[in-house]
Amino acid sequence: MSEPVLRVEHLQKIFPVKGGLFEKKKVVHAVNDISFSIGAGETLGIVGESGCGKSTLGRTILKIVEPDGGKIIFKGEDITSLSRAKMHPYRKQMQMIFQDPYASLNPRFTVGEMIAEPMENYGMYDKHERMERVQALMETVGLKPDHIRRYPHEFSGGQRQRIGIARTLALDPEFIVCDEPFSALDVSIQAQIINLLEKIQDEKKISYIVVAHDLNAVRHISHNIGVMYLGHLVEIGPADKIYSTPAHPYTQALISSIPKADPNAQGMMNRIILQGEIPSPINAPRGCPFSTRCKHCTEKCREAMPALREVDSRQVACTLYE
Amino acid sequence: MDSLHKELLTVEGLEVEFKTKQGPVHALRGVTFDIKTREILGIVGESGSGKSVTMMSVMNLLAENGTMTGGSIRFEGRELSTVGLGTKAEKRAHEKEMMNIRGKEIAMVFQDPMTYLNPVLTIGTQLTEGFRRHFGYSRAEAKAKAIELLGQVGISNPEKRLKQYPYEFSGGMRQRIIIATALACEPKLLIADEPTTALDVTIQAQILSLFERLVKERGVSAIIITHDLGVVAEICDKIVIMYGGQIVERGTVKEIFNEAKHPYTRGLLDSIGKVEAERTPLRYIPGTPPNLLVRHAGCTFCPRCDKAMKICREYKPAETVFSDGHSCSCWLYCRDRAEELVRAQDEERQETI
Amino acid sequence: MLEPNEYFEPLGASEKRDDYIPIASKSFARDVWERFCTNKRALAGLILLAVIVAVAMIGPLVSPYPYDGMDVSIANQGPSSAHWLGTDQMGRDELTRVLYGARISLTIGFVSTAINLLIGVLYGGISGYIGGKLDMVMMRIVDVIFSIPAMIYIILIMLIFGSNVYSVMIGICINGWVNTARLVRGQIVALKEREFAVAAFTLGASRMKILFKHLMINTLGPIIVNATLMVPQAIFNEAFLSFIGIGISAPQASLGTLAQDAKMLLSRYPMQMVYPVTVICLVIFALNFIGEGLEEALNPKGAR
Repeated sequence: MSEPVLRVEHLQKIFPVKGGLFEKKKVVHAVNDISFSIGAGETLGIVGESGCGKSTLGRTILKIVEPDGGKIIFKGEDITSLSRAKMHPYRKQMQMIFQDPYASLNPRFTVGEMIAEPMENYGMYDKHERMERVQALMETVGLKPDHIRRYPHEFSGGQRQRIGIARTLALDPEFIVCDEPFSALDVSIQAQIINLLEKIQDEKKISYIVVAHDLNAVRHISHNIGVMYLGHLVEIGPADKIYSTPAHPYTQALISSIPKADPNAQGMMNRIILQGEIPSPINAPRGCPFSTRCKHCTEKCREAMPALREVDSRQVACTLYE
Repeated sequence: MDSLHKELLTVEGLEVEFKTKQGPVHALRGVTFDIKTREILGIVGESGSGKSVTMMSVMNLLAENGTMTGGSIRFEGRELSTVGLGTKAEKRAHEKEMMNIRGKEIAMVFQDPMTYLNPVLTIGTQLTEGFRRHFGYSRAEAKAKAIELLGQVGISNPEKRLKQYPYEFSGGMRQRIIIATALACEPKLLIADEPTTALDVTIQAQILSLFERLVKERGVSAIIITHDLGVVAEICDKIVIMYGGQIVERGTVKEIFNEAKHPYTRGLLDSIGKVEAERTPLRYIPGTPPNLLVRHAGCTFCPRCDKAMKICREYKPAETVFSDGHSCSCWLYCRDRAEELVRAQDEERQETI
Repeated sequence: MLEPNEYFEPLGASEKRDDYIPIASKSFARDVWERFCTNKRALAGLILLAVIVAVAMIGPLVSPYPYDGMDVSIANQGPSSAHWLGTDQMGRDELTRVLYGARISLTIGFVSTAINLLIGVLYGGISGYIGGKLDMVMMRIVDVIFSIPAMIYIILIMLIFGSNVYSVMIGICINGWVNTARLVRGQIVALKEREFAVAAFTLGASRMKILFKHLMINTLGPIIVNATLMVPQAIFNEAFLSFIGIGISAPQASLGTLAQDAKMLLSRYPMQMVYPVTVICLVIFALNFIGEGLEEALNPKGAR
């Protein structure tokens, strides 16, 4: 296999939590010892529930927040500890699409200014060529040419997400982290954006990490899926495998919780309904993080976090498979 | 119709208008549906389809700039809409009546539990408030009832939990509490506005099964407003699909999922990625949701419809009934009545000019 | 009109009527201006201020009397056709004095506000955006400056530079920028966590560009409102300083010194006090109305 576009090794991100005056300083392991790699033109979907650290993972890889351990290797270069200035040329190739198309567009910029700005930042093209490129990009993402002078508040959610995508593509990136790109959109619009992202990927061989909690949307766009729980990667492998035969007990519960849009399926009947809630990441359980809610939990689970191991062509971190 | 199922809420031709700076927004354009006792109805639509406005009208909780301009809402024979209420005194009397209906006979569960719970009052205070007011329970009776309710919605250690504040609960717990509060006064109708949208899938599964159990056990009727077809498929009996302030299709869950008629319903069903789908482009509905500032001459969905015909742009389709309860408003199914419908609409336009 | 035989012909994509109503694409400034104009009080304030400024600028130039031309023989006259507002105790034309004073007062108000804004916005912006230890140090410096009463600085400056327009301005500015700096810092701290700021960062914008192009432009609203309220504050401060006798010295005049001069003869010639005070009041009212109107226009949601 050729060199992957991105390789992450034992990545860690720790956030300090403000304790009381006399309390011991506490930390949250938002990203805990995560390793994976993504090839060119591939999509890795990261799923998990709120607070599992999936958004932080995306932001750590792009060094929006500095990692506290491990390595990020982009096209063979270790970029983990590059300074802001040294990071600048890499940043051009590693981009991000944001969740909330309302909050991620500067309300005081017109669409044209917004799409041209990243090219200005990198001194790409002269002014005239930039305008031509802005128009070409707007066409790529399905915006009308007369939108160029409009402000973001004049657009619907789906169109704003298109503006965000066009702006990202202006830099010709090779890798994009999409942080919940669909969750703020209506159902009929989600499909438009999924198709758009897939079309762009097929044309430009861009690699994606798609972070999302909507399992249906992620399924369609991803080649591989990683499942996160309380900062840990508990299962990672080809999307078909994960969805058809989930191995980790948490993945099983997650997949069976997806509401089936099919009244004939009788999904409620054989659904695994998890008891209780996700423990607070501040007091994460020792050993396997899922042990507090897992029906297969044994003594061994409470002692140490099991390592990822190959099971049925995917990797699972669970004592059941040791 | 068996005796178990009698009419509970009937909404007919409801029209709601909001005044905005850009002009009047016609949020509801003649909405008609009904719900019988012991039924769970799902109202499905995207943002701006008017699904929430419909429910806010039923509860008479429209924002200040909104008014009901036509139609009626009947709940067990009583009129709830404010259409035709002229004087201040009439409105006040109506609001007083609504105070007794709200919470006691029709209860509501909101999307974000945190906006509904008061952060500075304990859960116990907020839970007992309702039935102390509506039923005149003593403090001790109310507390006992509250403990029972919390137990029923699956909150462990309810006595201790009563003394806690909303921030001490997680999102799923809060939604359970809201459901408990809503059920506290034994309402006849429970309206849930996107009850699980703010929750994670595993928690959503918990809440949905709880919801279904409670509704069935207590014989309450429920209306669930959602954009998620998966949610309605699981717990509803009947579905109403809304688009641009109108109901475009209604039917039982099976009818909607197996024999959808309206192009919008079909598009909606197509665009939810099937879990087992291959990586082929998803079928989707092009365009953007309708602009309700516009008074559409024809069908609201026409600009996005792949089956649009010339008549769709100019005239409104009529409802076609396929079987008891399954109907759809689309020109594809009322061609034979075209001339008569066109004549009626032309006459109507003449009058308004 | 549609013929019955073409009812069911398919509608081509180009024939579909898009129900997109173009909202007139307005720039932010235009939008704010339109909302501002709907507020009658604010508009009245703006017109009033414009009139006062125009009269104060032109008045002394076209007046037949110099502002310092004394003629004791006509001291303390009432209004007449020669002297519309009468004369003061030195026989100077009262109208010319009031207009000249208004000019000085307005100049002090606007110039010191501009200086305050410049320092405050830069200081607060940098402090808030860089954050961390620098922010901590910069904000403690601000606290120290703020904790010493303004009057002490002003008296010290007067001692060193003498009583003139410039030292009054320096005196007003020396801690006037502190509030702006705090306001801007607070705004920037909140804004820099917003997604559009993170987006600008990932798109390769430099620090300075993010701060000045992305963040500052979004703090304009509160800054402008703050500025409109700083102008009357400065005018008032100057008047106060002059009134207690440590401001601008004769023969120069500001609205404050005019009131100070009139104080001694208040019981016999009260009108000499009424003129400058009226102008101060009008200016302050006008600016407050403008500030209020701008605040509403900039935050349409908060106003409802």
